[in-house]
Amino acid sequence: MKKFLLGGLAAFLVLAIGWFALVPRGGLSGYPDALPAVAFQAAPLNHVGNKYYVDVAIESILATDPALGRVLLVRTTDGQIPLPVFLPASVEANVGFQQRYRLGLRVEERGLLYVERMQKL
Amino acid sequence: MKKFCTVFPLILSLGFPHAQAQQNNAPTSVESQTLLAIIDRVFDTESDAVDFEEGSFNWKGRTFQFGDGRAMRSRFIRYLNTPVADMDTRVYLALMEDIRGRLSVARQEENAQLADPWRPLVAAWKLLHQAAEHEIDGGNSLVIANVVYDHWRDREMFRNEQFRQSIETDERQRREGRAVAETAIERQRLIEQARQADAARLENLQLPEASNERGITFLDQAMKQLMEQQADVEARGARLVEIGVRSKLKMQSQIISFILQRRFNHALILCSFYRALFNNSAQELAIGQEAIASYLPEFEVVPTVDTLEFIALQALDDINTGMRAVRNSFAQRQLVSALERLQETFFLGEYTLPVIRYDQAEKEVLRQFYFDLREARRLSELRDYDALTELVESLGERADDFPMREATASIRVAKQASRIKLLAAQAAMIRGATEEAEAHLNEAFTIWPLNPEIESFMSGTVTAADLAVEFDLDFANRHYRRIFERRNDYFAAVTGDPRRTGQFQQAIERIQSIDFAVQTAREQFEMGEPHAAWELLHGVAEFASEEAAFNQLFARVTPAVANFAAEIEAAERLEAQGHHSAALTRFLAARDIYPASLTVRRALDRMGERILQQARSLQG
Repeated sequence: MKKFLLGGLAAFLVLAIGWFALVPRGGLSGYPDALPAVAFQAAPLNHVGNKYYVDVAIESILATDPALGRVLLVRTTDGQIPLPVFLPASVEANVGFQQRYRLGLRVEERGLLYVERMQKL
Repeated sequence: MKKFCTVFPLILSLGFPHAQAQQNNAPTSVESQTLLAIIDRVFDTESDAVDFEEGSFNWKGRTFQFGDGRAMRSRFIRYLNTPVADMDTRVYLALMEDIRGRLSVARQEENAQLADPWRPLVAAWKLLHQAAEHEIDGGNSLVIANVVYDHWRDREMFRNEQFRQSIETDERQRREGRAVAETAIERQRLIEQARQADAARLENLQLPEASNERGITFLDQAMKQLMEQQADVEARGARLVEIGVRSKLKMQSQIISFILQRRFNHALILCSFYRALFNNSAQELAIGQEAIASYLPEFEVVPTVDTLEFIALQALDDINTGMRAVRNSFAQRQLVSALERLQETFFLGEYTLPVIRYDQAEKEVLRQFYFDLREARRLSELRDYDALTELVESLGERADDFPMREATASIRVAKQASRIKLLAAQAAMIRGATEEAEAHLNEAFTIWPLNPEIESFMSGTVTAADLAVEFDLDFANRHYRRIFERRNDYFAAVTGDPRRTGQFQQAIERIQSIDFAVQTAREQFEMGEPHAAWELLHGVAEFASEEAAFNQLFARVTPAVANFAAEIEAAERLEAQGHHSAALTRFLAARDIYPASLTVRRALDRMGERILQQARSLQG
């Protein structure tokens, strides 16, 4: 019984340590870096191919294609930098205006911010 | 260039004889034919009796030949130009009246009572030599004098022949008596010879053939001489007849000749001489009966010398009547009518005193009128309607019977017809129908060659061609301001060319946009709205680089909105490269600087869809 309890505690500790080790605080799983919004705004094409996460507030929807997705205008929560992002239909999430979200995204060709994950904050 | 190419053949066609020939060969329009008919009628003052083409003049069915039309006109013009020698004609007139008076029938009866009945006739004959010295006589009185003198010589010859014939007749009678006597002697001799022959036969004696030995007897000689004398008498009789006939023929043919030459006074004088020189039985015409009969179709009688005198008198009467009509028409300001009557009367009585002595002042007026009419006709043939209008007005002021309204109306019709054809040519040019334009232009030229609008049209068309070339250069060099400033000229030049018309419209709209933008931007900049001002200027910057006012203001405004301008320009650059998302990012940055930006708003409108397209390609 005691062994069973010690084994469970150890497993918990491993999981806890692993969780803390793998998932940094304030980030998103698989998107380790925060988007350098100011630098991106100045030179979007310099970041093509990178993945970032960014915390944003939704301002408006610029264009919508139900089958394809939506083009959103967002503003970063920290520096209030306006950015256009594409939210594909495959990312099932409700969009609430002025709501804050953490976006995991990839910088596509031509500077397109392609949202891959979306997490409400 | 295209327009110039289409216009060039027109210029050539009007500038070269080839085109003139083409124009002459081309069928004239209804308008021009009508016009020519009117003009021919208005300016034709030639009398119907005068045929200038045939060179003849018809008087009461009698035709006088003048050679050709030019000679006839020259005669009439010479008459109008010749001043009247009044004194000379008066003396001549008195002489002719004196001669005719001395030869009149009444005077001849008086003369018959005189001791020498030929004396007045000889006096009249002598006056003929005086009359022949006058220039207007033309030597015709001398012709009469010579004919009369020839007659007298023939008459003397006739008398000599008559005297000789009487001597010959006496000689014939003497020889006839001798022949009778010789015949009696011969008969007596033959009887005696027969008696001797009978006696010898009874005595059987042989007698020689006495008759064979005698040769030509006296009777033979007498008969021969008688026959010769008879032949002489008959020949002399024939010569007498010939002398008489020849004298008559000379005078009759000369009278006819005078009438055919319209020398009616001389014909009358010679008729009077003829009547005095020949008795009543010799009045019938021996020659020219058919010719005279053709002059008198109304009479079916055998022409006589009296007939010739009648023709001459009738002609002189008509000449007097004609000249009265001329003077009367002139007094009533009917100059056209006066001119026609004078022309008729002149060709009938060219050598008669009423025509020759026509008032110099009136003749001068008619002469000027005649030449003005001829000039008007020439101007109408040349179709110089401006000069013709002035002349027609002048003619109308002088002559009440000149159809001035008809003439001016015909000129107006011609001008209008030419203008209509020119408008049709212009319309055809605008449509690009060059051949039709050329046809209309040719017709406009045919109707009124000196139409000033044709010159304007041609120079305008040439100018339009040049202007079109200049427009192309200005548009290619983006000199929109120059196009705008010359918009009136260029509008005419590019009309009808869809490509140039579009370019012209674009240039004008651009200049108007620039002017509006500069004006509004200046106001907004002064009101402290540099971003709005910059946006306005930036909206026309693409085509306003040549505008000084724009460049000055743009240089003033841009430093005040440097960040905004940099973002917009960067965004537009990215957009131009197809980086729509990146461009939108920069547009959004610009909006943060100037939230009211129209440029950004327009960019947002177009970017959403473009980003969706990119995403679609990524997912596909």
